[in-house]
Amino acid sequence: MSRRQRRARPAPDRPSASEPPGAAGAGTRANPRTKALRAALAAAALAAAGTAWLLLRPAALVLPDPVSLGVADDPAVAAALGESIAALRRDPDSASAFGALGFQLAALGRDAEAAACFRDAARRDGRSWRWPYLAGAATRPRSPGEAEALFGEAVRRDPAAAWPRLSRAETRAELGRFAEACGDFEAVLAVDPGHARARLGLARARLAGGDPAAAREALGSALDHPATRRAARLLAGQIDARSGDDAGARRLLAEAAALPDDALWPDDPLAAELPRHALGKQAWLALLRRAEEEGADDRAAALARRLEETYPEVWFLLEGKLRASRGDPAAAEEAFRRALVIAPDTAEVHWELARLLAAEGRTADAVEAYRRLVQLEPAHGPAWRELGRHLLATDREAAVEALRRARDRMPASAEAREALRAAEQAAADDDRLEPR
Amino acid sequence: MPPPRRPSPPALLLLVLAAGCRGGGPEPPAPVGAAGAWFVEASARRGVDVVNDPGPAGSFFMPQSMGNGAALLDFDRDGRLDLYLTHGAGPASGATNRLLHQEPDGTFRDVSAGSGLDVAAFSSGVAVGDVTNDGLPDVVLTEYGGVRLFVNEGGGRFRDGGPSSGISGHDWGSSACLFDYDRDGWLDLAVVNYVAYDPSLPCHGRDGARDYCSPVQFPSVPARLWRNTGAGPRPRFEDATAAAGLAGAGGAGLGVLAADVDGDGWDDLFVANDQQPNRLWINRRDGTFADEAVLRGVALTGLGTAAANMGVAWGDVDGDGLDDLFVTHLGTESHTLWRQDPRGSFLDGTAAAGILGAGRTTGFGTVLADFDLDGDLDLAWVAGRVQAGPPAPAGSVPEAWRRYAETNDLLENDGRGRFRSIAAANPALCATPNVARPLCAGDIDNDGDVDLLAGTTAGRVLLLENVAPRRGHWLSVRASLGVPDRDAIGAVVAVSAGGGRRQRLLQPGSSYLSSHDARVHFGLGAADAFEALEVRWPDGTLERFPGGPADREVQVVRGQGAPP
Repeated sequence: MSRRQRRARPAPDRPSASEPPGAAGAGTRANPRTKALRAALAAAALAAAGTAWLLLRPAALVLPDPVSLGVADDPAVAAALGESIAALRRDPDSASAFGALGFQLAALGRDAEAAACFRDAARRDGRSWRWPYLAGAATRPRSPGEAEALFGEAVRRDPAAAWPRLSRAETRAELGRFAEACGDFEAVLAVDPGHARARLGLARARLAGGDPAAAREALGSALDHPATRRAARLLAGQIDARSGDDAGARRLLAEAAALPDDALWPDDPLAAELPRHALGKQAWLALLRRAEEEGADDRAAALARRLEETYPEVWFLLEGKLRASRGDPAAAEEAFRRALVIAPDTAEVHWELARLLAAEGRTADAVEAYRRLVQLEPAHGPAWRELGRHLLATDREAAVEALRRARDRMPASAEAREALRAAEQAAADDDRLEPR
Repeated sequence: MPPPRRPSPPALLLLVLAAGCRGGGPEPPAPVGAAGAWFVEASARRGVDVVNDPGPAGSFFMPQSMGNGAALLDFDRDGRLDLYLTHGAGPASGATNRLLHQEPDGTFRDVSAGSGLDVAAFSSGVAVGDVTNDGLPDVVLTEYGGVRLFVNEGGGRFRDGGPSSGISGHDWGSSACLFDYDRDGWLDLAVVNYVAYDPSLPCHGRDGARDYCSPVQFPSVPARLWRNTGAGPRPRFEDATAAAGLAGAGGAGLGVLAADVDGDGWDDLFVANDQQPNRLWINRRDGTFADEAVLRGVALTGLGTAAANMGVAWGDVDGDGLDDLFVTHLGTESHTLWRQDPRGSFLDGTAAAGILGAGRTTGFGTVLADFDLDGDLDLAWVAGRVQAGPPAPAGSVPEAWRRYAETNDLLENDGRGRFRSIAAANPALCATPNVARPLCAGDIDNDGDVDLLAGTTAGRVLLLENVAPRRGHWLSVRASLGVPDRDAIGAVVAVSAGGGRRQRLLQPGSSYLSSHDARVHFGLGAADAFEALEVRWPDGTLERFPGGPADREVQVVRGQGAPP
């Protein structure tokens, strides 16, 4: 890029009034194409600003209702949301209160409602870029056009912040506005030339815009960053293949195949926050499993405590498993049964109890427990299998039927197929041996 | 030149007599759709009253949410398309798949009983093609738990080929297609497999409510390829998956397409993978394939994401002579149109095609066809979520499925590969939320335009008759190998008309869990005649056939054409 071109481009922290910041510097001579492009960009910026105003203009206070959201069944979720909503009623001008509620709703998968909260936060805090950014992030899966305007508002509030520009750039690329997307990526790179995600995005936008050579050139540090190196090699390979360099393309693909999956991009404002706002038994159980897999013992312990305090049946389930593993079946059974008093439809407890009873040789009790489980979970293949196995001695016909259901639901399980085959063979032998 | 108007009744009669149209006897009069509508619902009028049974609600058994397939096929070769509709309630249920024969008056008669196709299963995909080369189309049924070949014995009877056919397995099969990958004249079979599902794993949405599982929670399973050994009436296939190089490549496959992508005359295999990169298996002409999806730009979207790839459609949307690839995704992603340019290489052209303007729904079965005969390919897809969302209005679908129901979409091509949604003008296809999965295309009433058959989970099958205002002429082509007298699956048929050239691939297996009419259909726009037909047969030979008037069905037979 020439010095003239560098001087002509507006600095990222001083956006020009008529041009969106970081617009693609398409040369310095005001040729007709450049004029037309600038006019188009200006029009787009005005449109985006108008849309942002429409999305963020003052509106009546409308708060979500846990019942209508369908999350009132979990008392902990309902309580947490209720507290957040009460806080908002006490201080309806609090951006942070709207933001907190927004994060909770996003964690629950209620993206539309979360976006509305983030917009409300943005209305009340006119300075922080985070709120319109978060509103855009929550909106983008459903409506990238609306999201682009929201990201644009975030850029307007802090032109130097990378995340809004990156997200706006990626959204613009999705919308097919590759020149504008390139402008945003280049603006990020003007501040941080090594920003790997911006380099990768710029490369994609340039390729889509019809300039594979410039796309290849843009990759740079994206080929080395742990969050982009694999994707960058795949893209480079695709570019090389389109350019006729098959050998180079295959080399890059081989390199990509040898790499682990790209790491998650750090510090994503939404993704980083969501785990902190996770609500509900299932969400906490999922976090607990992840913590255990990662070996994060302290985090796992804290989550387990939280679960046990809020959902006593979880405590009893974990207690039962612990007692069973320590060779105390009586205590284990008591714990499982107490869990079922609290939460009678918890399949995992039924399963653990049934297995415990079976291990104790209490076949009739085990059969009853497995029967309750398959009534609760008709698709539970292993439960059908175990039910079938434990019925073999007493009710061959029912056993075969149960094993058939197990086979049907676990068709790839050789164990299930073999169990059925053996039962059918035994039943056939019985028929032959039965006195006429 | 303005598009031709619909001819007057006497002229229409002459046209029919002159063209020698196929078709049965008198049909019930077709109702006219609402102004601007391209389709009307004709299920009831034609006696198609099949309600899909996916099994009991509330079990969240994952195969329920992935749907059950459907096929348009002419099983008795009487010139009228019949229907094969599947259920997913399982082998222990009484819900057997249905075979419906189209009668001369255009109504359908249930001939399932005794057909051999009336099986109860966790049915998934359907592929149709003549694997015995006896002139009768056979049926492949994929299931949660396997794949089965049913050999058409004639007289409305199908025989389960059983393990002796060599086609067996216990995987969760989804879409399938028949194609002759080794050019030996016998149709081979590709089945894409989904995941190794564990039904004991309860899954929940982010709100903690019980929901269907996501494929990312289970190991993916590679596609399988079976090579037809050419044994004839007692078909015998050998598992060629490993030999072909597909065995080590998992992928949560949902959609499949066999087409010559690299232009060497040999069919390649595209596999649409759910939340994983797609595979494009390039045929190396030696019995092996190599995955070149990344190199050729169809593994990931233009944003670099591995989308939830489901249904597949193939066709030249922008008239540049190169077929393009359309794949449906989740509602939180935009469906992707990959434009081919240059040959064998693709770029994401979704935004430029205007597809982003259509509704954000989770798409499954999809079709590219010239519904209004103006000479360009229009686009349709059917939809329905795989995980719960805001509920549809009460009464639109059974209560258990309200949170999964979405509306279908129909998009008109402007002739340059840009689309705009005309869903609002097409209530029969697009107004009522449903949980739809397969979408089949074909000229069901033999009137020269493309009709649709959509399967809906726990709902009535939709038979949608095309009533689009005709903006041009048409040509329907049946391409036969001659000896054997079977559909030339894998042939590429090109028509020269009105100064332009259009090509179509003869491949019934695409979309999602679906099998289409085995004829190829062209809208010719203003051209009321065509100059020539050119066919590249599956074995690579090229032949040219003379032209003639439009608005009829013609048959081309290998060996009866002239060298180009």
